[in-house]
Amino acid sequence: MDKVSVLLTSRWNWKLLEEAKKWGIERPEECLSCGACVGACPAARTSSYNFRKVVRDVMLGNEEKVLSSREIWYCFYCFYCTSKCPSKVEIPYFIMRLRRMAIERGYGGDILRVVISTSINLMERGVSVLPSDYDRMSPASAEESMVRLRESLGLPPVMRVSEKAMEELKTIFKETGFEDEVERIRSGKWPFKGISEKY
Amino acid sequence: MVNEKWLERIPADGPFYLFQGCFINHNYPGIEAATRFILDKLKVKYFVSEDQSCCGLPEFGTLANPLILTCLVGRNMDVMQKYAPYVLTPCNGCYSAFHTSATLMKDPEVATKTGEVLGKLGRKYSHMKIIHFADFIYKRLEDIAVKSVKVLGGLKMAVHYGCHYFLFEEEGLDSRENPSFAEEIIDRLGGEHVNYTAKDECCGFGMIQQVVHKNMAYAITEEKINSILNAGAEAILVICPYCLNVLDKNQKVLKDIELIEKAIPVIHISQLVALVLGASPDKMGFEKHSVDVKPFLDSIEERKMEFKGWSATEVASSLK
Ligand code: SF4
Ligand code: SF4
Repeated sequence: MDKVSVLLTSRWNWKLLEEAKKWGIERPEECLSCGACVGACPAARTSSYNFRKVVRDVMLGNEEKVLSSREIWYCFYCFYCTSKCPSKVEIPYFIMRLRRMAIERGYGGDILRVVISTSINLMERGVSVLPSDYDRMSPASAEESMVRLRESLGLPPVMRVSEKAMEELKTIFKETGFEDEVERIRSGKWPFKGISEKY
Repeated sequence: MVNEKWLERIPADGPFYLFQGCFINHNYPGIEAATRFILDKLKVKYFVSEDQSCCGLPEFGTLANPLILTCLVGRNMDVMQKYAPYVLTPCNGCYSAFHTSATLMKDPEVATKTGEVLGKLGRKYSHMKIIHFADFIYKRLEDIAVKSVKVLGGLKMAVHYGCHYFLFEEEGLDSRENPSFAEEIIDRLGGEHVNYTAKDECCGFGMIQQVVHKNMAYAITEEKINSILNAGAEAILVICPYCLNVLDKNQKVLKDIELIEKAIPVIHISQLVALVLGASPDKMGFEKHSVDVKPFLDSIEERKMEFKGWSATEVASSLK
């Protein structure tokens, strides 16, 4: 290692980095700060998001700064960056991991609230998207009109998950902590800590 | 150049488990009707079951909880493998759910916990081969061309593959660099593909961005569509219902505020192939599309049988 890298690594905060590397995420610390990912990134083109800054702050242990920011919620999960990165950093997984860490610390509630409907649907029906989610009709009439459309196309009514399967799913929701988080977001009991807009 | 190794491994005749995805089932049933039509035409056996649940990707995408994905995927595979050894899906979301789950399962902590949860259900995490329906179409392209009763007549089409198709290169037909298999399908069925600069870019959906940061999503769709229009395309071919939704609906909005010059039809590859195989346009669920698909439908023509004389082998076989 050359002098500069030694100087830099001596300032790294391994604790935060290790936590961020769970799920087997490889090599975030090998980011060369070359900017290839930023050049490709749709989030970078349309917001203040810059992965290099995020990874740097994780390595420096600026925990609050990263996890409380809107910055980690801009990613499109499109993997364009990974295909361009010379170090093959798994950026979208890394960002997902940071979101998980933020959620566990009580951040992100305001963002999750607007996208929680698929999770609620999954808990109630075993299915993420319902006909009413993409239609302005009431849930009942949206489903009815979808049943009619499907019938006219020669298809069975709508996707149904058997009772036996729903029972199994309920165990999964409980055991994975999914149900608890969804319920807290749905009921507003989340310990909503606001996220910081400035980065 | 397609990935020949993967092409060889795709079973041409099935049988398959046809994964039931919520977005197709509840929003674009035409894609499902088209997919089933193609399988029936090719006499390929497939199964569905009410014991199957959603794929889990939307929930992983919002709550970033790996276990909800690995447990749903593991459970579904345990259910489906009783029916068939391979899963087919015409949705990039469901497709990437299986592969993303496999990636997350490489982490011992995730794998252990997933095993524990599934154990409580008397199930285990099983591995199945996932095949994108577009790959299957390519595999059977010659049969499809021979059985086709219509041809795509000269309409210029741009292909949008969608980011998540490219996540698992060893088990897919093309890489993100310069994909071409869907273009080949268009050309083989009588159409004309066009290339454009933003081919490898996102449609704008962005997992949560179409809801959370709408302005960002629209800006990305705008870039994509303008690149497609600049290349002279008259329709867009997709292999994913989410890409279809975003490119189709966002075009309407972008056109209204004059950020794009015109809006062009967006068609799923299942719909296109079913149509050339003789499916009725009324049965493709086009009423769910925002941009009128008429220019696309109008370009489809009856296939004229050209008689170029008998070949020697044909004469020989007719004499048998
Ligand atoms: S492309 Fe890779 S190495 Fe370059 S800045 Fe991005 S993450 Fe770092
Ligand atoms: S996955 Fe996220 S970080 Fe990577 S290019 Fe897409 S938006 Fe940018």
